[in-house]
Amino acid sequence: MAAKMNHLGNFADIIPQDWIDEILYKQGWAVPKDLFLNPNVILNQDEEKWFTNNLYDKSSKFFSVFYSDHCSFNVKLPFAPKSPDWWIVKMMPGEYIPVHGDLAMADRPHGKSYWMPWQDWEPGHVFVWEDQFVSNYKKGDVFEYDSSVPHCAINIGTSPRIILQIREY
Amino acid sequence: MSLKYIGNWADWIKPEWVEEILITDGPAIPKDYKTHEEMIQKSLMGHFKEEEWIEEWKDWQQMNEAYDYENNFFFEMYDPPDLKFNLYDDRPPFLEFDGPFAWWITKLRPGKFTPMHRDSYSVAKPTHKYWMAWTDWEPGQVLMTEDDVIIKYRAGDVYKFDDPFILHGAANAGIQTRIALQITTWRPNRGII
Repeated sequence: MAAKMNHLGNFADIIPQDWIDEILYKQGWAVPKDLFLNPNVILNQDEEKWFTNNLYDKSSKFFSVFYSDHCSFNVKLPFAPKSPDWWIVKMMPGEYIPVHGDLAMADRPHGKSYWMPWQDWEPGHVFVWEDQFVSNYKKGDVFEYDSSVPHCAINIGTSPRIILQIREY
Repeated sequence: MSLKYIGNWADWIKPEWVEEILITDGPAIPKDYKTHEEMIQKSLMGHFKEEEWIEEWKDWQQMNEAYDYENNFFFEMYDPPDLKFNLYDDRPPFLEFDGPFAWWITKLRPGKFTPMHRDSYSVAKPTHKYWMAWTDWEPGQVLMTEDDVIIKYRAGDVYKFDDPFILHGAANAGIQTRIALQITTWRPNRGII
């Protein structure tokens, strides 16, 4: 049976425009190249595949990520009350995250994964989860999903794509 | 929906065609586009029209101001002069007309993409435009228009564009190379009218 992605509602009112503006002008971390500045970084099996036979370049930038340390704000999430982890993904046109599963989440029986777009969907903003193409979402929509299922995202449009990722453990 | 599935013709695709594409580096778009376009025009029409090239380049740039055209490498594109085989000798069996056509093949290695764009050459007259997968779909690969998306296809699947002028693009965030054939009946700077 195909996995499902549950729409929990729209929470656009918790995203001030100045947060979006901050993400747009800041750099964040360039993934994957900045990840390897941390000698303790461990890739999962899916991520290791990206770099097998030089398919992808470890020193390149797929996209930017912003953790709480990168941001002047702290995200409070009414739908995820248990002190979740969060980070923000910014994909400029031409950026992407190759197909992978967040495999560590499969080992957390009470873990929950959510994603929340910070702008309305536009043609060229690609999110494929398992074998489903996710589109026509609105800024502030919140989806609960199984992030251990293979998924990928690509931006072949003309505007940045910003997504908040949330994990409850 | 703008992409209409019309059938599967996997048996028509010769394995050596796919193999040649896989092992041969193609012209890199957009870096090699002008050189490539000049070669194509000369081979098909005997001369190169600079003004047609400039117009096409402007269209691309206007549609994709967000991209770095000078330093980017989107995908590889093969035209008949780039290859040992020629589909004019093996006319695609799914074509719904008898006249001339233009064809080219796109290869997207992992991490490569075609930004969303419109085919500016499609507006002048009624046009047939087809897309055919030459490799099975793998997770991470997508063909999309502004109102439709194609995933989970098989090698040999053919889709026809209801609107050949629609915004469309493709991407490969997977770990296998993706190959597709494009066919159109209207592309004046390629000698097809």
